[in-house]
Amino acid sequence: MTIAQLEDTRAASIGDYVALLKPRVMSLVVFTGLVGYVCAPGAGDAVLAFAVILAIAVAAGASGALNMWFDADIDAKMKRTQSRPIPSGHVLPDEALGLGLTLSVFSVLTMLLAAGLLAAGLLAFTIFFYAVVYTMWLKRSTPQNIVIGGLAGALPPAIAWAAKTGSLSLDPLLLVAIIFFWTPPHFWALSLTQKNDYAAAGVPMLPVTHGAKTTRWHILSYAILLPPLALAPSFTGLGGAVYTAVAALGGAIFIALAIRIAASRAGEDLGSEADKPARAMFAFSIFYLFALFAALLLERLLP
Amino acid sequence: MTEAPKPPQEFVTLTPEQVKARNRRNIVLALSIVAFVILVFLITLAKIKENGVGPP
Repeated sequence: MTIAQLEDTRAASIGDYVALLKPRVMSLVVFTGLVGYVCAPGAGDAVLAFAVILAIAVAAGASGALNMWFDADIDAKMKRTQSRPIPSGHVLPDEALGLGLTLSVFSVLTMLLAAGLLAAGLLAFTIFFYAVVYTMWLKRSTPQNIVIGGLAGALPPAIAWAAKTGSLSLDPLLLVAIIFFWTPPHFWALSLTQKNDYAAAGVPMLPVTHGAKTTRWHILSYAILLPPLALAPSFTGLGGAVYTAVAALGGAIFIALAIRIAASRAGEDLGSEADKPARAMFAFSIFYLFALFAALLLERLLP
Repeated sequence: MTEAPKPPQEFVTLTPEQVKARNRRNIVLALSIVAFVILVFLITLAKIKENGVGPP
């Protein structure tokens, strides 16, 4: 960038740097991590709990910044992401890279100090998986990008569990599996309505590479797998009556919405009424995951 | 023998708005560093409470 261009640049605000950390993604990760921590056996210390959740939040933010640094070319081509700090010219790519790397190091060090090697190692792996495996490799090369890449977003409950107990067991892995199987139908419902944007940016999302119909059937397949998996914590003792009720009712609605998508023409005529089932699925999927984890939290916090 | 004169260096001239934004960024950065130091101190205290002083 030349001196003249630098002088023309609007001064980056604190809000631009916050936007680099993808605060909405961060909030979901913080919530699932918090539930993982609260559900793990043991008393736990309030300061250490705060440090663990903070480290997870900062690591998620760091991953977001690294993702925006690498994907600035894609973001500039998509309507949904054109206003992000780098494509809009408010933040320089190198600044995003610097912020991402610095926060990655600080978050892993904080986790190491507060919770030990297993949790810190898992956190470092999560950042690496999201920034390198998903962002740099899978996203641009395979329609299974969000399926495999979803592991990064699924790990926080296990990291928090490992931070509190120093080990892993079936229960935290079930929480990971729930988020892992939730991710594809959630993102595919979104990508059905934004197919053209992904195609223009050259991102091989499933609706772009295999068409809307295949995507609708893939959504249904995952939607059928998820509810039984979401009921598994009821059998291991992790979830109680409230959780079971939420998982059963939410799962039934989730499957019903997926059947509605499979029977619809969502993704065929973008922007039309036909996309309604996909938008409904996307919105409900967020509520469903939130409700599952909120039920677990509620059962631990209420006497 | 005299040294060749150095070429004039080019600097960015910041607008008042950019200077203000830079100051705000610096303040946030300073506060973040102080917060990190306090956090490390509190983690250390919590660890001492948990494990006691001395080798693990």
